[in-house]
Amino acid sequence: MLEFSPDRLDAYLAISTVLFAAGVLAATTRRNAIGLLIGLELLLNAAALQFAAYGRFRASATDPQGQTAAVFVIVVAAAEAALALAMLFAVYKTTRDVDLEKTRELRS
Amino acid sequence: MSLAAATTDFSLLRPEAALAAGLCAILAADLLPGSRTRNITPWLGLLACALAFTFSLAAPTGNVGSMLAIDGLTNLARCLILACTAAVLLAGAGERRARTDQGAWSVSVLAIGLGALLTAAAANFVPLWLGLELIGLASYTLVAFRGGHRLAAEAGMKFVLFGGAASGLMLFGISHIFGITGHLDFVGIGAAVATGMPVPVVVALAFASIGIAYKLTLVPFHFYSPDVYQGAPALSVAVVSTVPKIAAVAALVRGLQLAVPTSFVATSAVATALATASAISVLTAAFLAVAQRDAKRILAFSGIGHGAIVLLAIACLPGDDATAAAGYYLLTYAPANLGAWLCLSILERDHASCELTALAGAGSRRPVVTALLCVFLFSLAGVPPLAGFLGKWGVLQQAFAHGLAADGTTALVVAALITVLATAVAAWSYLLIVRAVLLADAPPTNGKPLLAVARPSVVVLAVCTAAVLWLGLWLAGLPAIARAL
Amino acid sequence: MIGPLLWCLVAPLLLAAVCLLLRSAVWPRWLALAGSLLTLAIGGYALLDFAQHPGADFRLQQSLAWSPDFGANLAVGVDGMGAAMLFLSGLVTAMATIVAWRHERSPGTYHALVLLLLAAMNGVFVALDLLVFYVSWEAVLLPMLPLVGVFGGPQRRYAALKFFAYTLAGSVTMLAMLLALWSVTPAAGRSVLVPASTIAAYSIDGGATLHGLPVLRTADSPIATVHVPRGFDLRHLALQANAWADARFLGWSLAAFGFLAVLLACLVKVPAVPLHTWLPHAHVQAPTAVSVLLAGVLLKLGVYGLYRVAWPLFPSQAIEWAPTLGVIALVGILWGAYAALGQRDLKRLVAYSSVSHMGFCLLGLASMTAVGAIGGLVQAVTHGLSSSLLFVLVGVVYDRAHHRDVAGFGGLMRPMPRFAWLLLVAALAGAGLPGLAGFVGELLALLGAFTAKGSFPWLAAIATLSVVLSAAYMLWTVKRVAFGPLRHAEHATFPDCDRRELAAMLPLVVLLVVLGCWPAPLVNALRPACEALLMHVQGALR
Repeated sequence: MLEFSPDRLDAYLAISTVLFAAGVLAATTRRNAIGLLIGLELLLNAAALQFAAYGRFRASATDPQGQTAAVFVIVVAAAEAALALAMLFAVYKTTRDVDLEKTRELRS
Repeated sequence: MSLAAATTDFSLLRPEAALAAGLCAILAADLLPGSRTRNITPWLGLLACALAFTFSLAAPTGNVGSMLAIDGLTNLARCLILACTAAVLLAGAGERRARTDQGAWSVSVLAIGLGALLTAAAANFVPLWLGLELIGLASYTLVAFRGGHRLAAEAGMKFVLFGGAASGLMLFGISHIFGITGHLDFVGIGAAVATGMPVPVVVALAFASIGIAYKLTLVPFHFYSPDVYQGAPALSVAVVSTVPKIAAVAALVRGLQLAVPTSFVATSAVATALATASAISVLTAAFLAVAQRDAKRILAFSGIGHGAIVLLAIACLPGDDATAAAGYYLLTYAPANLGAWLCLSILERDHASCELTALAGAGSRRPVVTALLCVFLFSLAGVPPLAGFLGKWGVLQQAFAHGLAADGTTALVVAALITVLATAVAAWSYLLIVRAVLLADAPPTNGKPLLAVARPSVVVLAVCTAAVLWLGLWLAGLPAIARAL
Repeated sequence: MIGPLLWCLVAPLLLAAVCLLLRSAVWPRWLALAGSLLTLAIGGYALLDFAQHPGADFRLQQSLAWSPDFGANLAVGVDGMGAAMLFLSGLVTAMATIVAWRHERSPGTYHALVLLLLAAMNGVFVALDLLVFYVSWEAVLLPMLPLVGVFGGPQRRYAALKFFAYTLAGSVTMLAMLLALWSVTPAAGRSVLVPASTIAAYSIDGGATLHGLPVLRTADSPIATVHVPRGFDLRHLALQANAWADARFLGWSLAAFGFLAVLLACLVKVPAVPLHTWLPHAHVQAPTAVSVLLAGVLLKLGVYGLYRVAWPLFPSQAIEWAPTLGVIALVGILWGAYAALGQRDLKRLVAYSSVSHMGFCLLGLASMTAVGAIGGLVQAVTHGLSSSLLFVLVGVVYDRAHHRDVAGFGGLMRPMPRFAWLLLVAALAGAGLPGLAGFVGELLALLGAFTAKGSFPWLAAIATLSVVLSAAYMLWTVKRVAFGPLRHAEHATFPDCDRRELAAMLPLVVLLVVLGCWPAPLVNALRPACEALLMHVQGALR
């Protein structure tokens, strides 16, 4: 039986895998662009969690790589989210909608 | 190949520093009032690129910690990236003169250059991912740079959502590699898997290369490319379709050289996998391209095909001549692609759209631009005696040589033959554009006078044409590049 | 530094650049004429040299290093075949330039494109390096697309794109063949055995070197050894013919793959039935001068490719495929003649007659006899002359009447006697009247086929029927157009051929008559090269 104790790597991996799966589901099935964006954030934060977890349990005690990578991911995810929201706002200004099924002018 | 003893010699990063300084200078200049300072921003960017280019030309080799590796491949990639960025900045200085968002545009283009330099030099997954993200963020901005135009905003939205998803998947793979091997730098990973490549590592590496496959627009990560290229302004697509490919190829080559044991790369399994991916991409690109009715979408599919052909050269690794073939292909691809998109941006301004029916008869109003567009398209198609032919020659020759060797993989030869077939099919899609602009009858003009082509754009077009013509005859180029590596 | 043959490549390119940069309406045609006359002079000189001093060797050779790593050099040289083709190329381009003398629409661009086309055609004929050959072969497409597609008639787009697509699709496999040949050769080259007869035929210094490679003889042996480096020199590749026959490529024989690749590319250009459907459209839609170039020179590229690349490199496959090729040739001969009978558009008629006549070239080559091979090339040269003349004449009458319908003409002998007589001469040359050059080529090709083995005598016998058919459609056309009562009164005011038009036609007429009565120079120039080729091919039987 899995023990969800903060001292075990498995716990963190399990949570991050669930987050990842949720993110993939959200990114692929949501019609609302904001929902898709939330999915992207879930993906990125799942990865950040994994970095931190691996950094704690697998790397040596003085190796900061895991935490550094997690911080980088958070920063870039924030920048990407800001940019994505600006993009969605630009679309919303012209079409008053962020439904991905409806914004389909660009297709062959 | 292994990295030399790590140093923290930051003088190796002078090109990157020059570009970063240029970025700061542009941001500062943008704060100053007055439109003249805004028009200076592309020239500031150009100056930064020129400075960085001189730094890269005779650059020393070495490593920056375990993060970046500056060697012959990096310097070649740097020179090409900086040349492409400079060309786009110069074209923008002419085509986008007197626009109020000039500063922001220059920053975005320069940021793509900086991100590409970082990616090309990366010897660690962190700067690799950071570089790809920097390229990505700047690309998303550039694609939507059309002042509230509906299609551009939609293109930007699709781009950022797709790109973010690819980035997330890539991080997933990287984090697992970190977990399994305990290293993020390529050399460390290579040392950790030297004894054998367990399946989890292979799967994680496959996920980690999704970002690169996305930038190279390989199937099945190509879906964004036609829609995004169609909606974005053509000048933005010029840089977005050229520079990330160069960076991605350099990163992929370095990753395969350092992070994966040479014995594994040399196995026929890897070669077959890469050759199969290349063949599928090039066939998809060719057959979907002939069904398109928009010039930008046709060029988007052409870009997919070209990325696939570079992958075929990479499938012939290990070996310096395979890297040289990939690098030479990019060298012949860059001027033709840049030139074609620049011509399209001029025509797009005239006709307000790049659909084939809208471009009909452009040759009668702009004969020189149309003629140059046809030259660039034929080079992309690979018709001798233009540059694209020798680029394809180099890659196909590597594939044949490695495939027909005694212990070679037959898949390489089959992929090469499929590439030859796809080239013939794709040539028809380029002919569709040529037919529209050159051969079709012009609709009656509405009396609007034509805007003259700005002089900087003329310079860029002239340089690209000269490059395409000269590289088409410079058969000794490929061995020269191999020696420079 | 740059020898005469390289000037045939460089001069048209330079002149084309000058034409594009000069914004003049007068100078471009003179530059185009100069370029073609230069080619004509050098080709004529070489041809006369071969006529007076026959030999199978390559003369006016020159080799500039292009890429030593690939063994590819800018190697140029002509033997009898190349000299004849170069001469034809220069002559036909000069005639075409005179025909287009008053071209008004963007003359600078037009003549520059013609010069680029001339450079590419010359490149094919003088290339001794397979890579140079391939690049020139493909480079022919680039100027042809705008020449037909921009300057042509109402359906020019369809015609130009069909021509481009067919030719590109056909030659793409040649690229794979090139690469396969390279990849199968070891990096250090290979040693091949060469019979003494080959050395005697091709060596220019009495047997010490062969095509620039030292010859190693063991004492008194009729077979010598030559070490051939890896590369693309056509003569070196021909020496390795046995190696290609033995090599495997993805399970097939490399020679089979290579031969079919080159055959496909050449058959599209010849054009052979059923790959000929691009030709009538291209001819009808192209302007007159471009039709002259197309029929006079471009169709010969296909035949030349077979003689220069397919037969020498893959002789065993050539022997295997010769009977099939003979049947394809026969089908082309008969189909072209039969289709020409039913045409009303004069240009389409001449186009289908071209298909028919080029079939004789294929038949001659496929017969695997020296007489047949010589006949094929003579037919190529003479058909170039006669079909160019026919197209110039069609252009003359189109210029006056603005249509090409046979039914719309009649009795033009009265207002245009010079035109009518020249049309008669051209038609008889096309029909193969003895005394005019068309007869020589057809006779030699049919003789070769009659004396060949297998089913060739039957093929030749059936092909002879086409002579009747070609006489029929040619004479019927002349009767319809030139003789009889003047059917349309407005034709009475048509001006006859002026000096410029005569200047474009008389050289062709003179050559047709001279070669018809005295073909010895041409045949003497071609004979050693063809005999050496056949010897090389027959040698593969062992």
